[in-house]
Amino acid sequence: MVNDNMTSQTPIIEIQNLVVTFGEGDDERRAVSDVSFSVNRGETFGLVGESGSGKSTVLRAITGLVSNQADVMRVAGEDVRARRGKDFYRKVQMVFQDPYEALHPRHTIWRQLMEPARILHIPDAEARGHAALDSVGLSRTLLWRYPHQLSGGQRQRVAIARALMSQPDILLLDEPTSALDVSVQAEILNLLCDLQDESGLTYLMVSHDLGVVAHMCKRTAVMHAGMIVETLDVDALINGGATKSYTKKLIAASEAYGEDPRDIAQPRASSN
Amino acid sequence: MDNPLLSVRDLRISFHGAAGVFDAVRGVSFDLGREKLGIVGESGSGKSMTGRAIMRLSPPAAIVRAEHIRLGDIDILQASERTMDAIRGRRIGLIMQDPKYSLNPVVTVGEQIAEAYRIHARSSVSDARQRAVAMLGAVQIRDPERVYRMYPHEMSGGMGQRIMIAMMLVSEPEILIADEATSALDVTVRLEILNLLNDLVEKRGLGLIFISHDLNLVRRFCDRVLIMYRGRVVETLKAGELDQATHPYTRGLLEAMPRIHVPRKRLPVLKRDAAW
Repeated sequence: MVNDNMTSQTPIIEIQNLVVTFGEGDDERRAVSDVSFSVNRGETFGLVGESGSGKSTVLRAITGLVSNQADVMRVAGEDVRARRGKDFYRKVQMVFQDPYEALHPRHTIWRQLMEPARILHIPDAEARGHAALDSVGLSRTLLWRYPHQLSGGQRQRVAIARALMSQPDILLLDEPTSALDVSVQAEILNLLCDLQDESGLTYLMVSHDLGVVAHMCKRTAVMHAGMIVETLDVDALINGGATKSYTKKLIAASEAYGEDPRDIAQPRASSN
Repeated sequence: MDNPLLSVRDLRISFHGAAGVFDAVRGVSFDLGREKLGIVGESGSGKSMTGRAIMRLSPPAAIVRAEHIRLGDIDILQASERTMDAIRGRRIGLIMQDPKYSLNPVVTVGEQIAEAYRIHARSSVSDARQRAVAMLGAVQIRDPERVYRMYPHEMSGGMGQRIMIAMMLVSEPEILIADEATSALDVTVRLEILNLLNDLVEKRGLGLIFISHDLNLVRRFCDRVLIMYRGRVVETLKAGELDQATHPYTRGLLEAMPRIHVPRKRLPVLKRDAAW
């Protein structure tokens, strides 16, 4: 699908038996339970599931935003079970669902971009800022605007540009288009594919939308109640190759009112 | 359409602000029968504004004009506030996106349904209670007696939305407006709620206005679809014939959606025309 030639078989993200618990004592609840998966360099790996399945928590655990335990957690060549250094955040960046909440409401677009440069001691910040804006297709005339002066799609482009400032290897995408209209979603998904083609980025993408996952990803893990139900190729997922009953239920529900009825009768054409 | 439940003619909603006049809705007309009518559009298309105007719940700053918004022989725009109180909730029900924000957090859900009934029907407390329990059963809640005593925070999203539907249906309205009523729900839960709405519309002969941004959902669920863009209805189609849409906006929206079974390298991007 996207970018096959750049996908190699070295895992850039490798996670074994990740556990995240919230609360203490009697209130303790496992949000993520024994989750294991690996993502190859240059691929887009999906995490699908319904709300509360723990898919976003996995991303937050990788970045260290929630405390966690794991037998193995190697990201971009580093063991990240200990404290993450600045080098980690240069290599791994995150894009959130709601770009309005993810941007500082009282900082200009330029200042949003300069913030990670300052924190992560990125050289040539100004040149990179301009380059980042160009690569997400934003005009330099927007530099001095504030987030509320931009459309939803423009804001998400700013959030992506900010994530690109450190020239990362990995982008963690947490429902990056679910707050956007479909016409804008198409633009952002195309942009993400273009960026991957240009710079070989690896994406770990969380979504509840099987259509988006099928479009973007080659492989995906299906999560339910904090656990991975199964990990499979998207082609198999779509063509009835799912083996677990939960996955089948999820696909059936997505197709029942979600899909273009013309498409369901037709088997998915091979994408390679 | 003969004897529509609701008739809207040339609805216009504008806002006067410091930056000048903004027209949110620019001449919307439609008739609603005993059917599932979808109103689809992207954010800012005026679809929710249209839904609110029918219940006369537009924001105070809005200037609402129309040839008429007629419910039976009442013109909503001319009706007294007292008449509107008898219409809202009694003859027209409204279900919104997120039950978390629509339910009172400190009153049990059963009491809220019973209260909705008692406002419109003069009935005893025990009668209202019975109606509420029966209604919980009708929206397929297991063990309605127990759920009656539960509070909104104890509900899942799907249960909360069933409670909202029960509350709206307990006074047997003629028209139900569902404004993104299933958008916040997971796909498996969404399926259950849609099936439930479908049953209720068919059994009770309701007119349903289903406002949504989701073109695929509406084409599968509704009978007829209005497609709105920047305050106008650009196209009206039978839901099953959405494939034959001719307006470039509708076509662009259909094309821009990722399709599970039809992989494409790039998604076609909508080109907007100022003339639409």
